[in-house]
Order: sequence, then structure tokens, then C-alpha cells
Amino acid sequence: MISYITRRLLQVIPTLLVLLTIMFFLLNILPGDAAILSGASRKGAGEEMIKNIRAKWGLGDPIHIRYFKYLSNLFRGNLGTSYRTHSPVSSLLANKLVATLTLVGIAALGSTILGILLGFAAGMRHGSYTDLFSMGFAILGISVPRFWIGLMLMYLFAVIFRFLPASGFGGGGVSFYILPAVTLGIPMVSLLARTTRASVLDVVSEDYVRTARSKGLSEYFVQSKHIFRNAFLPVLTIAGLQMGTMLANTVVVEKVFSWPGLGNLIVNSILRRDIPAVQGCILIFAVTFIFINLFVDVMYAYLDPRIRYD
Amino acid sequence: MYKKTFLVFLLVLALSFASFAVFGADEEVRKGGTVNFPAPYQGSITSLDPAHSNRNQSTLVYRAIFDNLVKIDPESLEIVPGVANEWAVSEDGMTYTFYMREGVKFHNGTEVTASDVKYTYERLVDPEVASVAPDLFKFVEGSKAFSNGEAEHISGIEIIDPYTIRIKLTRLQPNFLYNVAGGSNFNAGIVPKEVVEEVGDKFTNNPIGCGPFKFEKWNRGSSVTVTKFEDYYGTGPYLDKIVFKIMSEAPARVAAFRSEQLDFDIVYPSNYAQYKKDVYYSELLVETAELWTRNVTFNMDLEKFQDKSVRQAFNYAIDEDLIIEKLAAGKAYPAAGWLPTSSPAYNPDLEPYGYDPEKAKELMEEAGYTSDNPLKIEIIGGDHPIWGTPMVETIKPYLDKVGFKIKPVLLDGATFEKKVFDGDFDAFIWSNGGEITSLSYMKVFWSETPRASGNFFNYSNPEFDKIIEKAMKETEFEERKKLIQQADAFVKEAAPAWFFNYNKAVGIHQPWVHGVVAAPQDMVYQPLNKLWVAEQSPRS
Repeated sequence: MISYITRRLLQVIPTLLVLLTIMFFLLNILPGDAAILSGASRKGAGEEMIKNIRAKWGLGDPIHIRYFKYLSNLFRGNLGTSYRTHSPVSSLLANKLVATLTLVGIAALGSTILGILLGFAAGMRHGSYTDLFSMGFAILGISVPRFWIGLMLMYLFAVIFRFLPASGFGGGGVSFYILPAVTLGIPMVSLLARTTRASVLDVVSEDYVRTARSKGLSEYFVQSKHIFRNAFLPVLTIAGLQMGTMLANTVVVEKVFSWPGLGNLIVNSILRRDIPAVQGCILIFAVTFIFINLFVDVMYAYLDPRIRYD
Repeated sequence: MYKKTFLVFLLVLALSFASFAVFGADEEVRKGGTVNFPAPYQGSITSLDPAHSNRNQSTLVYRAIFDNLVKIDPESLEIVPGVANEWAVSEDGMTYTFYMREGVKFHNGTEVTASDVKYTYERLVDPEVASVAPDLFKFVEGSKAFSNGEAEHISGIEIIDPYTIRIKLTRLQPNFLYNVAGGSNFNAGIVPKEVVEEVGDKFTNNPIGCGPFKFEKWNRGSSVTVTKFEDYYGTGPYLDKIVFKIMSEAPARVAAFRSEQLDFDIVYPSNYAQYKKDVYYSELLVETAELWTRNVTFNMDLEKFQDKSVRQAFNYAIDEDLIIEKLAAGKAYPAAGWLPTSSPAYNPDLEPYGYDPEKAKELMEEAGYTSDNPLKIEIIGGDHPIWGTPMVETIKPYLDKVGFKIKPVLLDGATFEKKVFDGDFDAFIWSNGGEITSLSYMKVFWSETPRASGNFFNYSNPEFDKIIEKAMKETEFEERKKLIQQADAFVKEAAPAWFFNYNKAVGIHQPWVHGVVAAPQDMVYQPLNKLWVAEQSPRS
């Protein structure tokens, strides 16, 4: 197991390097001029200003020079300076990372538990009202766009009932997390519920379940040890992949709820061609995604004795 | 009978007192409380250093933290005293002397002196700082030598004594006081020399000014909180705190406003009609014509726009009133020329083109275009419903009927701006302007204004130049106003754009918020030091 983890960790470096290289060139060949965008407004931009900004950020240098400068800075732990804010990208990312990861963490944890519970209940009571309700909820949750869910929740709980804040971060108060986390989590709950149900239905008809029951084992024991544990493996893969999707979905949810996270930062930075900030966000997203995948693979090996990586 | 009359009299008396207690008491300024104010535009607040952002999101906060030698009254747009309570302009209009108040404090307790002012202006011009407003002091004597690195200071900014500063210009700028006031984006807010020299670019993290509110906290991407500066030299501030909440999504703002979590908001056309119909909310709206002109700009470099008939036909072909009524839900003013109705030099007698499709067809035929042989124009734009490609889709049928063939092209902001600044377009739809003074507003058509600085049309006409250059040298406001009006009429006739409307800026505030004004520069530029909240505010 340890050698597997080491091997996977070593693979991270070339993966990131390739990704960051592709991203660097893609971002730099995008139409749009960072000097104009960081200083101009609809009133125009003075030529002097554009010249000064270009010189300050080295935007006049050839692209390969900028690339090597970027890489050498990166290896020294310097993510560069944001064109828009004149602040180091690392400090910009620091507090946004906490806001986003906490939001994703709460949403992922809550929706994994709820999704699996709903799916398991639906699978065990196949054809019942529980099944009907769970699957109805799941189809709705997958079909309805996230921003709409967000706006409806906001209208219901902030405008009508007035017991939750409409948007914002509010210094990190718990009540501020509820609506964005629910909005972010609903599609994951739905997907996990459907996957768990399908997986449970497969496992329920397996011979070993029938054997366990015929041996006279208690229903609780059969369901928790034989059905749940075996049905959980495919769900784990989906949950891991969904965590990545969820990170990407923060772009929409953070926009709707004015959440000060990476999703909001990356959108605003792309719109103004603040390339160092975009690269910083991508680096964080990529590293998080890679480690989630690694974690899922390790969990897989741990949960399923048939899988032996080493 | 008498008893009954007496009772009615008593009742009327009691009601009068009660209404005085309710309404009369509100007239008296109340100190304390917090206002939650939105930063409602796209993008975050990127910098709290006035040298580094000219986006309205940041300007909103600069106006709370910083002050200038002179200021712009948000309602009348006139120059009013700031840190300088007096100033003198030499007879030739080339030298300005500012007499500063003594004892004005920065938020860190140090006194504001002329050396801080000089440092602030030099910093804006310094190429190493790469500020967004080097042009504000471009025509000060010695500015060029300083920006080229040939001089250590700008020679034309002279410190006479700690409270007197003199600025010499290299050319006449009748509106120079507006530059001192920081221009449209408040970039000349006075900064403390010693602090900025020590912290450099980190000044944005902990800005210190001499404005009515001092910086407290910046939750990046979420909010900026400022608190009352007790030693403020001017009026107020009355509020204890203002929380600027970054909320670019209109539906989220509407939800927050209706649930009383926001004290103020700007209103978009989609909500305007709703608020207007509502008995409660309609009383809380504040409206004015904003200093922006929505238009389709023609690229005057292109052969296809050389014939004036074509440009005028475009202006005759469209029913602008119907567009305002249906598409903008009444939240716009019809445009006659370039200057909006709030502009000091606006000419109410200037007649718009009006909707005359027959005349448009005639003009197009004169120019050699018919429906069978149309003039093809690609109009680029963003996704704004009023000044973006949705509007181009709306006007396309009107134009196609008279001999044009319009192709709307939707672009993302960055690509769009690059094309606009490079002149790589047939025509584009946008909302241009934003300048406070009428002269700067009209100067975009001057042939010496580069494309990137606002002459996106690349319009050049020697006759127009003569008028605008005369206005630039005129120091008497009334005379200058006449010349600017003449220039506006000239541009209207020359039609280098289709001017279709001026935005009706609309703000809405909660009933407990007082001091809100109709601010034509931008509805969010409220006099923050004069805002106050009544006791009924949930944050009183």
C-alpha cells in the first residue's frame, strides 16, 4: 500500500506540470489584453496607463520568457502577483481556499450521508412509497439547474420565512453556510441516492445475502455487513468523482450566493484576464482533485480485500 | 353636539401630534447604526488603494475611506471644498493654489499636510506604481520628466508651506479641479506618505485615508467594513458602520433587500416595473439620468460609414420610444444627442432624430443601398439586455427593412474590449460616457483623443475640433456651455453613432435610511458621511 501511495504521489508532479503548461499557453493565447482589462473602464484607458501596467507585469515579454519565469517562480513557491489586486496570488488564495473547501466539505459530507441513506432505504424497500419518494427527489435534484435551486431557496428561506441570510459569507457564521451548501449538495444527494439504490438492488439478490439470511443471521447484521458494505464500493467511486464536480460547481453557487471562494475568484479573474490568479486557482483545483482521487483509490483498497495494489 | 365637536377637535389634535412625532422626529439626524450597502457590479472589489482600481466596485469604498483637496457633490456634480477649504486660480487659468485646513487627521492620527498631497499625485504618475490614473496630472509642469525618470519630483507641484500647495499646468484645463477631486473614480484620494512608503503595494490591505470612515475589515470577495472616523473634519459621519457587500447578482440583491438585509440597492429594468407598481416600494425609489449614453458606435475608419446618409438613416430607422417602453420597462430617457439630461451642458432644445422609416429608406437609397442590395454591418456586443446584443436582435428587423443587413455578434467581455480598443469592428453596442464634466464627455469626439482613451469611433472633423478646442480654452462656464452644446448638436447631425437612450439610474432604499440623493454619476455614489438611519432600522 505504501509503495502504491508513493507511486501515485510521484505521478502528481508530471501531471501538474503538463496541466499547468497547457493552462499557461491557453490562457495566454486567449483574446483579450490583461493590461487594458486591469486598468481600463468603459471610459477608455490612457495610453500611459497601459504602457506602465504592461511594463510592471512584464506583459510585453515573449510568451516563452513569461512561461519560464512562471515556472521558476512556481518552483520557489511564488505563485506571482495578481494583475487586478496587486497582491500576491498566494495570499488571495489562502482565505478563499478555506471558504471554498469548508463549503464543499460540509456539502459533500451532508450529501454523502443523506444520499446513501435515501438510496439504501429505497433499495431495501423497493417499490414502496419510500422508494418512490427517494427516486422522485433524486430525479428532481439532478434535473433542476443549480442556480434555480439556489434562487428558490433564497426566496423561500430569506425573503418569505426570513430565518436565513440571503447571501454572503457573514464572517463565516453557520447560518450563512446552509443555503449554499444545500444548493451545492442537492445534485450529489440525488446521484448518490440513485447509485446506492441500484447497487443495493444488485447486491440484495446475490447468493451470499441469501446464504446469510438462511443461516439465520439477524436482518440488521445482513443489511449492515453483507449488503451495505458490498453495495458501498461503486458508491464510493461516484462520491469521489462528485467531489471534483462539486468543486467545479462552486463557480455557479458562489456566484449566486456571493460566496468569497475560489469559484468566484476564478470567474472574476478569467473575465479580467488576471492570468496569475487564474493559474493559482487552477493549481488548487487540480491538486485537490488529484488528492480526492488518490484518497478514493486508497479507500477502495482498504474496503475491498480483493483489491491488492501491492 | 358641542361635546361631539370637541371630541373630534381633540382627536384631530392628537393625530397631529402623533404624526409630528412619527414624521417630524425623522427629520432630525440620528447618530449610530449600520448600513448594509451593496457593491452591485460585476467583479469583486479588487483594491482598496485608490491608485489601483478604476472600477466602480472599488470607488464605492474609496469614497468612504479617502478624501481629496476638493470634492464632487454627488447630486449637483459641482466642486465643493474638501481638505482644502479655499483655492485660487491664476488669471491665465494655468496655476492653482490650494489652502488646506489645518488639523485634518488621517485615520492613524497623523496630520494631513501638503507633502502627503504632493506624494499622492506623484504616485499616480509614477510608472513604477503603474496606477490606473496617470492622466489626472499629465498636464502638470514637470509631469512628463518625472514619468520618464528624468526628475525626482514633479516640478509643477510646489509646497508653499505645510498647508498650501500650488500646481502649475502646461496647458489650460478648465476642469482641472475635477482631476484634483479624483476624476470619475476618485483615484486622487490623499494617502499618508510615510505609511505608503513603508508598506508599498500592501497598502491595499490596510488603507488609511482622511475620509469619514476608517477601514475595519475586508473579507475578500464578500464584504468590506468601514467604521465611523470620530476625528473627521467635515460633516458627519452619522453612521457607526457601513458594510459594503459584494453582490453582483441582481436576484440575490433583490432577495436581500426585500428581506431587509440590505439597506440600499440599485434597480434593474426587470425589477423597476415591479417596484414602480408596488405602493410600498414605489415611495422608496430615487431616479435620475445617469451620465452614460447607450449607443451603437460606428467605426469611422471604414468606407461603409463615410456617407453621412447611412449613419443618419440608422438613427431614423428605429422606434426608440417603443424600445424604452417595452424593453427598458421605462427605465431610460430618450437620447437626442451625446450629452445626457443630467449633464450641466445638456441642451433640452436639441431634437432627436425621431422614428421615420420612410426617411431612413430614402437616405439609404441615396447612398445606394436597398433591401436587395443591403449594407452589411456586424455589430459586436456583450450580453447586457439593453446595451448588448439582445438589443441588436431587437433593432435588426427595423434596420433590415430600410436597406441594412445586421449581424449581431455576442462576445465575452475581454474579447469585446480588446476589439473595441484595437478598432477591430464594424460597429459595437455599449454604454459610453461616465465623465462628470460636459467638456470631457464631449471630448471623446476630438480628433486628438486616441481611440483607447474614448474616441472609439475614431471620429475626426476639423470643424468639430475648432468648436471643442475653443471650449477647452474658455474659462467662463456659460460661454463654455454654449460651445459644448454647439459641439453636441454638431455630433448629433454628423451621427457617428446611433444614440438611443440614457440610462435612468434608479436606486431604492429602506424607509429608515435618510440622506439618499439622486446621484447622476452613479447611483451608488451616495454622500456616505451624510447618510443616517432611523431607529426602526434592524441595524440601528
